[in-house]
Amino acid sequence: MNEIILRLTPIMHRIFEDRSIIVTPNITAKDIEKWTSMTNAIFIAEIEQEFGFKFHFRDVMNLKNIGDLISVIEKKIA
Amino acid sequence: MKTQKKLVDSMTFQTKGIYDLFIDSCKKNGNNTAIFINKNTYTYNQFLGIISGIKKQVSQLPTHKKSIGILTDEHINTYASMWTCIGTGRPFVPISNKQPTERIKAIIDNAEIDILLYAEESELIRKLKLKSNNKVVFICTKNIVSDLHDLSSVRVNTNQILYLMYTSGTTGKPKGVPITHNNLLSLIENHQKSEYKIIEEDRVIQMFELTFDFSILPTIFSLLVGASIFVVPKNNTTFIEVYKILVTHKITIAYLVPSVINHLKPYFNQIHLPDVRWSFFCGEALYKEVILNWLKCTPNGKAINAYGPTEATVYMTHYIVNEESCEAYNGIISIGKPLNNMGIVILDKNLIEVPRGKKGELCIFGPQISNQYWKDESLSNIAYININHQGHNVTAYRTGDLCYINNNNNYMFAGRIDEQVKVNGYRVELNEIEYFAKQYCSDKLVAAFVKKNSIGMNFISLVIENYQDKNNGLLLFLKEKLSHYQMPEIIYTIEQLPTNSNGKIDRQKLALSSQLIKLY
Repeated sequence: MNEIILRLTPIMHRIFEDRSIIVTPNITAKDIEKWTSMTNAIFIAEIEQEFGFKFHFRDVMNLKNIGDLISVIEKKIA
Repeated sequence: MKTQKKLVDSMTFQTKGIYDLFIDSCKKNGNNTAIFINKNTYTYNQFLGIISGIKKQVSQLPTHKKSIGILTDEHINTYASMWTCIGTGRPFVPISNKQPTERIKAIIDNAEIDILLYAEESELIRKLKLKSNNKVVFICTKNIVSDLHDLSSVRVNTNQILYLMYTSGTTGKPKGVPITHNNLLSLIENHQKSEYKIIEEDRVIQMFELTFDFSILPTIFSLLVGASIFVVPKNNTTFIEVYKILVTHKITIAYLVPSVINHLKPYFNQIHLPDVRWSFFCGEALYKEVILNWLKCTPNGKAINAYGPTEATVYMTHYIVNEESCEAYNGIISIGKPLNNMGIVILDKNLIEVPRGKKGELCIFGPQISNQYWKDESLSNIAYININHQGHNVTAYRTGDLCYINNNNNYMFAGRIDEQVKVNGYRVELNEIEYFAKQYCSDKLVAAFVKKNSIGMNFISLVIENYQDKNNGLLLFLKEKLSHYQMPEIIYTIEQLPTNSNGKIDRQKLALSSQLIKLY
């Protein structure tokens, strides 16, 4: 988990334009001002590029927080 | 005596007001679902009970016949408040609670609002109360109890204003568009005569802010025929919530803005929506490549591209999209033909009609057109013009949209003649953003423009020439002045703004410039 957080942090800082974001499993879209439909789409695309897999839409739909996202990434790269 | 507009239902011609039709629908569909919102289902009977409760409270106040403001909280009582206004013959003014207090106050003053209905107490309400000087009665509808069904309605002159919608203006003042009962009755008649009319069995998605007039189709039209509305929860990632509602509630009519399906595009091959009968798009350009692929996701459905500024009462042209005939210009789907009784002329700069196939400004007329801006004669005189069309004198609204008519008599959208842009369906005047930016940094040249991000979506940017701002002052100032949808996503500075041969700022060059330095 820690390694994934380390790799997600710079992506989130860049896309959501906030270097103060501390990435933890409990963070949700509501906690981040610039997390919108548009930045979400960019975020997903960048994760796919960073970790080298494609999300299934069902996975994207069911994400409630960063912890869920990390779980999906862990399964995909396992 | 004014002739009341005829309204067509599926069986017979009848002369009725909008609220009478709603009451008929409530009587017929009492136990059916009217609205699903915030995980709760409300039948027509329950919904009418809430409306009756609010109506009772409003009716106890001294009647001034002024307009009623409705703060658009995500709550069943917000929807009930709209119907309360219609039932009491009072014009309603939807006001987004995401706007700065100052802007809301400007709307309250301009619209002469004397009652403000809201569903949730908030800091915003506290501030508005302080600023209102007791001129406005604030009613929190949250705790109003449902009442016995009040089936009465006030007879209204159909030329009376039904609602006032405020849109972005160019001089920092939002402009009010008054829509009359007649305007909307004309659209209802056209809509319910069409092949995409709403029927009692329909399950309709409602994803819009109530300040966006496209919301009138799901929120008002659906309830006139006994259909059910499913409200999309407000969330940072709207497109995901939209998809969940489409799937979970087996939606049959999907009123959407094109940007929603643009976001869903990467997953089209995993989306299957067999229940959707009609996908109905309005509010911004619909791209051929996207819509043809979306149609594969809705194998039993058809799609409509509708067009119309707020001044034309939701929409006034339509085009049925299918794989066989899908006319487009620069990849943008045709806006089709005008609805029955509505008219279009394409005029040049001198207001002379252009020859067929030539581009010019789309000017529209007919019974759906609002004939003025609210309390703004000078702006009305610019936007509304008297023209002679085929021997008849008509008042036409200048849309500012550049269009031409093709050989199949379909109208094609080719851009704007001014600095208005569409972002997520909202119309945004770039000049208004510049107006406030200049207020803050008066000695600087500024330009608002549209850029594309890495996934090809448009977003608003602002640039200030040769500027430094250490304390986020400009950003905070703009947040106080602009609505959320008008806020620039990125603010840049540049050493020198690029200009074209006429010396004007070249926004296209700006969007591609590598000299931009990001401030926020």
